[in-house]
Amino acid sequence: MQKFFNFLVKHNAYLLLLLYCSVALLVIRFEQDDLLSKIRSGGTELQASISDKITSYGYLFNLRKENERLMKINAELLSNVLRDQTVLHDEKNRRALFADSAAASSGYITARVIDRKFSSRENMLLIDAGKKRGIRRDMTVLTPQGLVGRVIFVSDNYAKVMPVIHSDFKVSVSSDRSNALGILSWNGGAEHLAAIEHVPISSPLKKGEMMLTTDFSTFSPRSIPVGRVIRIKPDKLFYRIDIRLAVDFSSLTYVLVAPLKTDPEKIEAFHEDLPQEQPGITNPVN
Amino acid sequence: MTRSLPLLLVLLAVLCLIQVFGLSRLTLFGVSPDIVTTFVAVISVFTGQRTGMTYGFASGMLTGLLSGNIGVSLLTRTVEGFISGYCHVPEKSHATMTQKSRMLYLAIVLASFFGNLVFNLFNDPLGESLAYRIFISGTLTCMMNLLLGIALNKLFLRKTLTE
Repeated sequence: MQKFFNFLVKHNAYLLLLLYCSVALLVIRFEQDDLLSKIRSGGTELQASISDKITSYGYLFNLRKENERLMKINAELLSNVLRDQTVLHDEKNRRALFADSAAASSGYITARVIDRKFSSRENMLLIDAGKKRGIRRDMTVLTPQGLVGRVIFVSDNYAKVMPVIHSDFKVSVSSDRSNALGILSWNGGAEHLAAIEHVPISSPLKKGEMMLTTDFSTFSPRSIPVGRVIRIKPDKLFYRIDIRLAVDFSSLTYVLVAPLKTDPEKIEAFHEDLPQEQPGITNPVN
Repeated sequence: MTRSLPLLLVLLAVLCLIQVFGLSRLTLFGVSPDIVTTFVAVISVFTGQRTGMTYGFASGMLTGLLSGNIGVSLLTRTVEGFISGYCHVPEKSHATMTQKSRMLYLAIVLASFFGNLVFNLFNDPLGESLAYRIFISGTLTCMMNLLLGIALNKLFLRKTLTE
């Protein structure tokens, strides 16, 4: 017994390290559990409310510039709406094709970006809309310019968004003219550039084509602009494609959150043949 | 230093807030200075490995809560406290002020490097290679925190070091 106590006294720093590290590893392991999730939710609420207060002072100084920018977007949107209305009026028979997007657009939620971090420690956006305003995990976040990201964590009043410029973010895309399919990913580097993977050499994709989200995605509505192709390099089987992202992440202020794409049958069918995933870890390719 | 525990805890909380809402936004090549690491290193140097680790654990809890990454934050800060504890200067040491300062800087560099190493083993938000994250980001983090440590030493720690 004496030897045991001597051992404890002699190695107490290591034992304390072991204890703390064990607690930390347990927290990492069970981070998705209910209790820890609630604690994280509380932390996010606190961080967001403080960030909200800090950034709201910054907004006061930029109101004029922000108003001008919104007026410009409004003008663009108005012209788009007028053009779409004309097309819809003239082509009644093709309305069914637009029914899906028209129904979906009714449930968009507007949110303000209240915090943004882009560093090797954290890369995420924080928006001032949460569960109370109908935000759910995996909802798509976008602006009139294009895709911003997807919701990965929601508390009562705030939500965390994984932006397109995150190494874990993947989404299925296709080009507007040639319909070439690929998977958008971001491998670090400049925040206005991303890459499209798995586009076969046989594809007729050209420089300058706009890449849009597809129906293959399990979370994103189709036809959201993602970016424009600026570089195409042929590799062995696939092209190496660089795109300039449609959204300027350095000046994001307001975003739209698209309603959740509820198609459980499709998701179920997709996962049927896949090996069982670990709880809390989503399929990276979606 | 051990007598002013409540004061140090309050200071730790304030520094965590400064880190999360201020310093984490000052990024250079994706790396930002970390005042909490510097603080944990200072505590470890003056009070020892166990106290340093405990402060590291507490600061990990606070920064983790605010950043939503509790587990990794706990682990990182604990390791920072432990590593910098190897540079502990006992209260009754006969070391000169320069020697104490050197130990402090060494503790900050070690804590920053190993903290960065542990964090990067679990996280990769910018999609950089592990070697880049460990060596380039690690070196940059060390340099930034060292500069922060030198500034803190010159401004606030002179009295403690001369005691």
